[in-house]
Amino acid sequence: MAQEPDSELVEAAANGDGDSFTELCRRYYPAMVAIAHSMLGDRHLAEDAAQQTFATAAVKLRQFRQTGQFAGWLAVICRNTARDMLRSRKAIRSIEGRPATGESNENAVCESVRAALNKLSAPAREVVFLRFYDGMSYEQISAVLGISEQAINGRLRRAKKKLADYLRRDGYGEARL
Amino acid sequence: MNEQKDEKWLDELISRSIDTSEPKFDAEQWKQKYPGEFQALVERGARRSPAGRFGVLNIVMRSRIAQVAAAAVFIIGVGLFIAHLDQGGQQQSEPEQWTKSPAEMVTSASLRMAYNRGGMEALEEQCDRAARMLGQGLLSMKDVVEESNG
Repeated sequence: MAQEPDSELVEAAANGDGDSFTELCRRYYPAMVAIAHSMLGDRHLAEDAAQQTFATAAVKLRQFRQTGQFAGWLAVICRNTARDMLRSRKAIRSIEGRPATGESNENAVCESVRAALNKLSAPAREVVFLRFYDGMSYEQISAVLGISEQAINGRLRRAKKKLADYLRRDGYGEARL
Repeated sequence: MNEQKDEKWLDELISRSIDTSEPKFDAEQWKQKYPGEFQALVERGARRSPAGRFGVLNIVMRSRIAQVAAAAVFIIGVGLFIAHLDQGGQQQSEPEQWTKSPAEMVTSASLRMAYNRGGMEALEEQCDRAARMLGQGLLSMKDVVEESNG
């Protein structure tokens, strides 16, 4: 069955149709979690941020006029929400952020990858997370970020090249896997 | 080639390092977590409903094609109305001029009405019309007066 266009769901939701709004939430939840995850570095926090994003969107839906770019509008709210959460979490992180002793090699690899991801610019990191969340298509990513598929392809290639360089510098590469 | 190699081992590393399994949105849980926000969304629709009768018109008029079609219908409507008025006017004035017999057209009452309407010119015109209907040439005022007096 063909998916109902965003514009129709947004129109219905703006007129008070709760089901249309939750359908939009279902549609963009993975993308919002991916964006928040790329900023917060924590999956659970990212899910909280995505849910908070939809709560804000429910209240501000009347202000939204461009029905075609609903995903982009949501992404802006999501980034702001994640930024607010990041600010309030910095103090806590300084206590929690102490490295655990006796971690396994696997944990060390994961830590290095996360560190390498953190070195990327925010837009580059965002596109990597969006791509890796359940293999989101370029078309879906394009709808969320509001840029062309070619631009996404280029941004993703550059980000992965940088990641590979960082990891090789840390002694990781295809030979060690 | 090197880029392709990068892709493979890097993709594997990223997938191992971050939890990228597809998150599922639980609508019921979300509604419970944010009852105020959800209620605000639903109630907004209820508040809008009294004006709902204009909703369809609003949606239709957002489309450019619908706007052009509505404008065209309006213009055609106005055109038809004006044409109807003109036709009505003609239908009203014609009987006075053409349904009268030549004899009726030259009665003193009829000639007086013609004079009142347009002076001597209208009077002459009415006489000419009566003459044309009788198949004669032009009738002068003198002929008319003589005819009237017997």
